[in-house]
Amino acid sequence: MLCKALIGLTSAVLLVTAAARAADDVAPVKLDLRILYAGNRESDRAKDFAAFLEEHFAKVTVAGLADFKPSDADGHDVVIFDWTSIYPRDKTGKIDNSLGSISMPQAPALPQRFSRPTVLIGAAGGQLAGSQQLKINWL
Amino acid sequence: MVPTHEIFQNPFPVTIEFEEVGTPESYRHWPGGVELGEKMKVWKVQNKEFPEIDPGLVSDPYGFDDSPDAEAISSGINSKGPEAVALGRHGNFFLWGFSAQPSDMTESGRHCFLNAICYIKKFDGQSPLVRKTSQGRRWALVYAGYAKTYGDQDFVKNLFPKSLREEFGTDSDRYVKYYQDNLEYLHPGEHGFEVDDEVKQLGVSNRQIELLDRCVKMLEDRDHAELAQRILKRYTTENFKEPAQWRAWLEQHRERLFFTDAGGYKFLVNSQSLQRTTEKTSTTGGR
Repeated sequence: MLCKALIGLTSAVLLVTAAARAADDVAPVKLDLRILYAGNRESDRAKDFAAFLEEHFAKVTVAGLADFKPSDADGHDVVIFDWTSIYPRDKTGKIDNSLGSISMPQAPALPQRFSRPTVLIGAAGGQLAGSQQLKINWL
Repeated sequence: MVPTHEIFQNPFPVTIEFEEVGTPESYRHWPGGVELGEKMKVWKVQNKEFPEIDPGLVSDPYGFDDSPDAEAISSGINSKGPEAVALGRHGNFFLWGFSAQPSDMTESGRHCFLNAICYIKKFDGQSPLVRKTSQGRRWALVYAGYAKTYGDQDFVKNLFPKSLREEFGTDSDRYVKYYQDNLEYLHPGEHGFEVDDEVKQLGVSNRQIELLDRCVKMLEDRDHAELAQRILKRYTTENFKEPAQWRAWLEQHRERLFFTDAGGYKFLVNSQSLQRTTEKTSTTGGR
């Protein structure tokens, strides 16, 4: 009885493991896209984005947001504009607006004809969207 | 939210598990907010929230999807109303309004982010067809709500035509009813939104192509031709002199004409071929 119970238990564990592997298997596919991530390039956030994107895309380039020029997008399929936190924080790392004002990133100047596929994230996206008269805006 | 949208499907599977949260009280002050239930269904996108991380960014929902180059895909829990856009596209630009970095996203959030990157690739070379130069007309209803909350403040006076202020004062409900009743005839005025009485007398919405049909027919029949000419000039970017020219233009572009509030209260011609996949949104969103 004990052996059977153990066998049964082992089978159950194997099934769960197989299911978990199947779920993982969908994620690591590398897609044939070249990504340019323009953000706060030395930040942990930029490194986190870069590591994540490199897992899934064929090529990932990291650049500084303020230094970005439209020609930097050449050789890339999609550009991502991002920035680190713009809010003042307390000693524990939590946002506390009473400690000061927000610090907006300097958005790169883009011509309205800029037509490279682009993902806008947070404050960086808001800054850039305004200059482009996009429906994407900071409400 | 549009759960059938491509960014929730491919190439990475996105398992959306909805959970219920209390409807934010601030939503009640926005158009449609009163009708919302006590709870909302939301999909968890990130594992950290404000004030641990930045609050993210949402966009003006009114008029967001009134042109074929833009689509509102999902809202998200925010302080700017139940319809504010957290995930959306305008031309070759995709808004990812959530602020978490990948390690702070949920697994389904990470997959959706990857899908958004893949999705926007399809719009290579398709810069926006319209630029946002005006507010969508539903802002009139937002302003009407301001009359209740901020009625005695000076800035509110500039949100309504003088004649309305004299008639309604700070009676928010009267503004709301007036603007709801006349929503299809609104256009921007010197102070807030005005009813286009010339269009209203025709009984046709100023954002439906029937208005162009009616006016071109009026020109052809010499029936109030000056009125028809004024309306056509007001709501298109054309300035033809002859009815036959208006007719030719209308028939040539009929299938590609669209009206945009956000793009300047004009009928414009869609010159792009790739259409959005979003058809409609609801108030369910992410967090």
